[in-house]
Amino acid sequence: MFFWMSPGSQAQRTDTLLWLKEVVVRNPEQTANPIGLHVQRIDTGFLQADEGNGFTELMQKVAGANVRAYGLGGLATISLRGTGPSHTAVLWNGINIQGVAAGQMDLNLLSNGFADDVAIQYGGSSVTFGSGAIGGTLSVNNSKPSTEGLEFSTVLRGGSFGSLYQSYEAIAGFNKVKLAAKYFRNKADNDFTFRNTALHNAPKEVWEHAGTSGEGILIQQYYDIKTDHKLSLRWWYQDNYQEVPTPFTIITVGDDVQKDRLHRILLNYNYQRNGTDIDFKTAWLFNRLNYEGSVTETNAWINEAEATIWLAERLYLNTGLNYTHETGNSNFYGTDIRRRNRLTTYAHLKRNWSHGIVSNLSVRQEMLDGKLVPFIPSLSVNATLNKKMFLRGSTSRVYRIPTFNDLYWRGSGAEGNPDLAAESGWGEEIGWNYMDGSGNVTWELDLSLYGNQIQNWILWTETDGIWSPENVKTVWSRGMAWSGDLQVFANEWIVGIGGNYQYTLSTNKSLAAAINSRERNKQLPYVPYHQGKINVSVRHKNFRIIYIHAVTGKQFTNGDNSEAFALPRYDVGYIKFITHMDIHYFRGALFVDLNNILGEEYNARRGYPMPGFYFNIGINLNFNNTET
Amino acid sequence: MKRRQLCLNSSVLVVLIAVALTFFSCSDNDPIPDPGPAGFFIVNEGGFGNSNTSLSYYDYETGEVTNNIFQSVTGRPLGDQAQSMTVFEGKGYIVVQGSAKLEVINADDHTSVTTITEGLVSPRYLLGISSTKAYVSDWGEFGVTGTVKVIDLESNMVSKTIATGQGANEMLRVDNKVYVVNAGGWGRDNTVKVIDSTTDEIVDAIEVGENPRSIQQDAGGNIWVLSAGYLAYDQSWNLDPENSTKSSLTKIVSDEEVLRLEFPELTFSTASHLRVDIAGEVLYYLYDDKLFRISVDATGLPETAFVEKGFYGLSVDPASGNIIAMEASDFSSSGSMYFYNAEGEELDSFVVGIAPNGCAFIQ
Repeated sequence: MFFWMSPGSQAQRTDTLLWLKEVVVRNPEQTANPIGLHVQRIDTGFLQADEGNGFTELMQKVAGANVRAYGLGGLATISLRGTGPSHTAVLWNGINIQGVAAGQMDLNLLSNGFADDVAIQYGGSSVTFGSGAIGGTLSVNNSKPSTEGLEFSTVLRGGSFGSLYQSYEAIAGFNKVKLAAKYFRNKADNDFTFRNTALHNAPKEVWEHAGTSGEGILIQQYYDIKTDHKLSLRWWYQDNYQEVPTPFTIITVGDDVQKDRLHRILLNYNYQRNGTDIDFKTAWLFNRLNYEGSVTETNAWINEAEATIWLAERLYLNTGLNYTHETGNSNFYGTDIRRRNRLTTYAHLKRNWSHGIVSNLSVRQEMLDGKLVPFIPSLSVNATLNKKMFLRGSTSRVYRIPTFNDLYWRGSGAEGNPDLAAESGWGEEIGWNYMDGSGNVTWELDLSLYGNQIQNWILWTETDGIWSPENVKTVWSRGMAWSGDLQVFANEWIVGIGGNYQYTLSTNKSLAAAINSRERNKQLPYVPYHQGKINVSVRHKNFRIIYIHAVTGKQFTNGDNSEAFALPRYDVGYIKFITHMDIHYFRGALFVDLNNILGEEYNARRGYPMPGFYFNIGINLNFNNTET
Repeated sequence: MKRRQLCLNSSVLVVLIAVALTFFSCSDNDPIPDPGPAGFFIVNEGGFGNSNTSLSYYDYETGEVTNNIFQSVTGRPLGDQAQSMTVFEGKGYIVVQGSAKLEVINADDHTSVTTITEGLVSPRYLLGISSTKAYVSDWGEFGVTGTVKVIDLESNMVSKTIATGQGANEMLRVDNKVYVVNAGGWGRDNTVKVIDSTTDEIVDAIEVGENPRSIQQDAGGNIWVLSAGYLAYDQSWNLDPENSTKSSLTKIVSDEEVLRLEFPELTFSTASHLRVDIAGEVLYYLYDDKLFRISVDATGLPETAFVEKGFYGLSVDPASGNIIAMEASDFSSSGSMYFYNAEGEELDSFVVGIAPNGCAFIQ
């Protein structure tokens, strides 16, 4: 039983570790959103057993998304529903933590050791999460420990290419007060071997200058002032050091280094009584990026007040106001500190109709430095047909405001464009879900069809020798996705099989003159038509084994889809062994990860090889002096 | 530092658990093109850092272009940012600047001969000197330490390095003299160095307009040098005209500058790609991305363009005399190659690789 491995996991099913099950929210009336959209909640047990492997690898194993990684340990971003990395909002306990400067999240700056709950929402949800939530959202959440007394745990992991990870966590629970502090430290040389096909006879070489290291602290304090008054404070600090790898097609290996430092502080007050829920959040996000001495510092002060009120028996209103102040200071932003004020209001009107129908009508309006950005309406519906089956549908406007780099960059042959308009478009989605079970067998199927048209897509283009961002095209992404899950229980055995598949067409619909007309109707680079994952798991008593097979279809890497530069399909297989034992207050677990067991030679980004077979072994030790 | 190569007997990891799975592999290789009786190569730079530089081939007999021939024949990518190619002694030397290497192929069947990497940092152009020797200009680290590397064509190793100035670029051989223009690299220079190809020593230096990039000889034996000039920027990255210099065209007679024509404006797309027609009487060049022509007897620059498009590369076909101009578009998708006659009429056009910048002819 692995629920003790993380303070926030005790409410989870103890057998969730076994499965990579996709979860569809079936009780949407409990939350303002999502209605009409598909949510994949990463199995909490799997998340815990994967601690130390990094967020990039976690997403590669489980997400119905394309992970674009510049080699092992290099910059890695996630792309949902055929959109770009800046079109996936990344949320930490409901706060958007996408970078102010570049508008995208390097997955290396997340830590799965600091996450109690990870969920991916597919499809546009700007009406709820604001700018950037076009392809979907990645949510990383912490939950309040339920420990009463003291609990200590540590995770130690080591493996191929000099990878080492250690974390230490202490939790103290005293009735109304819970305190949790966690520290991690990691390093990896990432000096694997690969075949350098850029050279005559393709000799084997060592991938160099790709090492990473980092450390982080997460401190959480929860205080239940009263049963209906709750206060929490979280502080996430992280330092990352990353050697920037050079494409293998470049013979001379560079020595560039990137250092990231971040602080994320979130203060949250919540009041709940008689169906009324009032929530205040204030957060400070600090990012400092040092690339070879060029420093970019950004701050975001986010303040949000939100109220959920039952207006009538089957009708409730969720409304809020958000004020965010952002600053940016960089060698490339000129001498002034750049500032931006964002004021947003939103409202969701939810109605539970008869016959199992729930609808949500939402609006959102953001004002950016006194100017209105696109008005965002949304209508979504869930229809429960019977206990086993429901339908969902959603139509919603989406948007993304330009980043500070887009607006203010000057230097190195590039120049920002302060006149950029926000990207905006409409996303539509319909879905069908069926869940059934009888005796020792349960199964579930989910199907989604989706479309998304994004206008004013921002792209950096070259004019007169200067690269500058422009609103140059309309992109139409559409496709289908399915996921399924089957579990069979027999005596002390549990066998599961699950998977997901996405077919995505994401093409340029219209282009400005700055773009080569040959790119019209062509698939966006690094958006595979086909991708999917299958997982098979077997549990017997304290022993579990999971196999994951991830397939990423052919990807074009340039604008007019040259076959010559396309990345071929690649298949990557992962095996995870888990076993554990309990001795009184002490509990221990052993993890063994075997990655790329098929030894696939592949690039997730052209010029950046991924490693062949590699492995790591980890242990988790826990002491808990109280029964929970 | 160069990448470390592994010994062939490096340890092999053993997978402990195997899972039987249906496993498909895909092959998207293009058909290997027939080299054809004669043609020329088109060098496509690709997008910087995107590892998508490529080589195209135009076949005179079929009048068709085959793209990506290097990868189609060798089964491996060409690399990052090929700058030029020279066909010499039956071999094609592709100078891949971003990859800091020379790819050597057989000019007739395009098969790979070898890859030369040792001693190269940021190579630009190759000039054949003899059956055993060639010169390669090299911008050096950070583009500020220009040299000419002497390549031993038997061992395919760098046998000597000659310091020439910043951003050693195009070269021109006249008897035993090799003229090297120092394009400034990422800095500034205004010299043409002269190397004695029998001793591999610098014997002379000629001052020309700032940042000379290309060099040609006309029918009268005069040498022409096209300089890009220099664009300076202030702290806010605005163009600083006072510290910038305009492009210029220089005529050299008997190793002395006798004429310098300065271009009228500071333009982001500076003058480049000086070429001469097969009669040696007309010069062609790109300026502000447009194609211009000028007689070798002219004393002033033309005010109007010969062909107005957004060109990125330029060559003159020694077989037909046609002007070959290339369009790069957006560095993310395929470029175009256009044929023009001496009257500026467009004869034909082809889709080539990303960012085509020049041609290499089999002579």
